[in-house]
Amino acid sequence: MEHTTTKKELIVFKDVHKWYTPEFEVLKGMNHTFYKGEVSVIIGPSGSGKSTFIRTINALEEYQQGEITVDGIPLDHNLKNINAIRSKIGMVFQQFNLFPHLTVLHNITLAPIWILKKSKEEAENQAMELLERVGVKAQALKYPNQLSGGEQQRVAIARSLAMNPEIMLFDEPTSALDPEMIKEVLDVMSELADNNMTLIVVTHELGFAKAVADHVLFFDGGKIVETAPPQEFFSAPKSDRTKLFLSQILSH
Amino acid sequence: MNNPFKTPMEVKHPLYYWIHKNLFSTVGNTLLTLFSCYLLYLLATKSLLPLFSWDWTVIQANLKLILTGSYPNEQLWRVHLCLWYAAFFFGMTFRFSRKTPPRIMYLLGIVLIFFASCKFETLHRLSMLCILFLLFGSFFIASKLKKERLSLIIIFGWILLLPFCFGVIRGFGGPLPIVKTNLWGGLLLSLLVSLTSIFLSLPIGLLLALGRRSKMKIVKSVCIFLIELIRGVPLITILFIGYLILPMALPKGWAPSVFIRALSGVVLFHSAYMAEALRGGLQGISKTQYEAATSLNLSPQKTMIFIILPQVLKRMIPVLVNSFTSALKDTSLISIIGMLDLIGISTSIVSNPKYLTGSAQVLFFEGSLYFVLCYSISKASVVLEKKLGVTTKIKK
Repeated sequence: MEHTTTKKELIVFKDVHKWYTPEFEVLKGMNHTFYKGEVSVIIGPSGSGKSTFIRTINALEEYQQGEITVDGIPLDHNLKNINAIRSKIGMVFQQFNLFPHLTVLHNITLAPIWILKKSKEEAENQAMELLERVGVKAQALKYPNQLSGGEQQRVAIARSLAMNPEIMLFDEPTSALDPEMIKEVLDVMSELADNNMTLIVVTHELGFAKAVADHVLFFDGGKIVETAPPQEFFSAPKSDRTKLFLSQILSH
Repeated sequence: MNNPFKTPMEVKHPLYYWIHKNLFSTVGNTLLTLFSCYLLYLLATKSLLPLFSWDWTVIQANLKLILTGSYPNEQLWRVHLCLWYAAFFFGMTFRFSRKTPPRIMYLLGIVLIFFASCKFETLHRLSMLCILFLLFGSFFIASKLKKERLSLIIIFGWILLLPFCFGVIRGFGGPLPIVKTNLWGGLLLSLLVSLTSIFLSLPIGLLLALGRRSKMKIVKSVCIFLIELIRGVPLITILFIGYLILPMALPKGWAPSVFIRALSGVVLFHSAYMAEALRGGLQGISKTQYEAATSLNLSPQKTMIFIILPQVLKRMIPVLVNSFTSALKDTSLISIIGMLDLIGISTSIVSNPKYLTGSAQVLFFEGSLYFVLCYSISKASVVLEKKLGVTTKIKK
């Protein structure tokens, strides 16, 4: 922990609680700090609040108690703050969520043109560069449903990158993919990590966590049970719950 | 040539094979065939042949009334002006969808030339030729324009169609003396009312639908109240309320003309239906589309305009066409409050003792007019659907 002073705090959770209904508490007091340029992987059983957790970061979900700040901006009900925070964050979903009525190229250029007020030409050039980076340049003029799942997900990543985010959130990006397509998406994500993008990834791909993550967060029952660097996490987990979970997934 | 899908018999005598297979394959089938032939024979001799022996003078004598009501004869050129405007944009729209003139344009051309050669007044015959010229001329002009500019021109052209028509047909003094709405009638009135309700019910219905989905309680309840109230009342009742009760409820001289009252009744009625149809379409869009747009920092308004509405409207073409055709036909109800639209004027023609025998002809003529109009709307929608469907298929 000697580097703490040189690292820049990016996202800070302070005792964050969220209820879906008064009886149903999903997040039960989250405390965590994400640092700039680090890759955090969140794992845990389903229903443990992983997705809800990262969706609170760009205000897709509200929280009722506690405090979240993103790059110094408090995440509250102030629309200006929310917009400022969202402009720093890109998000990739499990189901890709591309816009089916727009071509791949227009999926990417829409937001830069209308939000960042880029010229059409500039936005398209940038989109083509991004498509090349994620390896689907040849499909630029196709529609999303003409692409394979892996290609769609890479387009979704490019679409988020087009808004020049500092942070990328991945909500189970490979869960809806066929096995042979998982790698191509993970490769793109690793490439982002290599370029010092801050990534927060909810995933079941433990291999990715081992190889790329700086931190692994283990969630259970709406709480962060354990936080550790991957080597430590997988070889010497501290809590019994983590051990049980790991033994269950690694058993076959 | 060996076709695996066809038996040798079928290849040798295709016609004989087809007749045998489809008409006389079993005893029951044979009986059905004979029975249908008998029905066709009856239809031809009792219904179709008499059509040609009908006396059509009632239509010839009243054609002007059926088409434009009591619109002053010397001002009829203004109606033609509207037709020219429409023809110009029809030509452009055809060019937008394809490179060569579609068959329908040639068909229209033949019909127009036929009319131009009929014994009408010179103005009308010239106007037919003018329409023909504009139709093909604008098609040619459109081919010189860039596609993006063309689409803008077409969109604005169609949006301005109704304001243009109302302006020209009503007039505002000077070279265009005001023609009061009570003189409008026939097909002209029917088309003006139904096109207005089609054009306005979509945006008003959209606002109501969005309002009903709003999180703001007051907006939501006002929209629900309006939709349910209007939907829960027959169109005739709405028209009568506008016709009889509104003038009593408003201070003297405040009530707008019957035309405006009838028009707003029809528009409101269809907006309410449109709102519910659109709400159904909006619910069909997955929540994840909103989330994706939100995560890209698109505002709710931009999300609606760029992401949600294009998908909704594309999916809803069949439903919209359904509403449009019913709007077109429902306008005939305004005849009940004494407006001389297509139905109203024909009732008055038929009630003239001189034309007592002509009621079938008048009805037939009107039916055909309505059919041609509705059929062209549904044809156009098929083209539109194909056009949008070839390039994009919506997948959840």
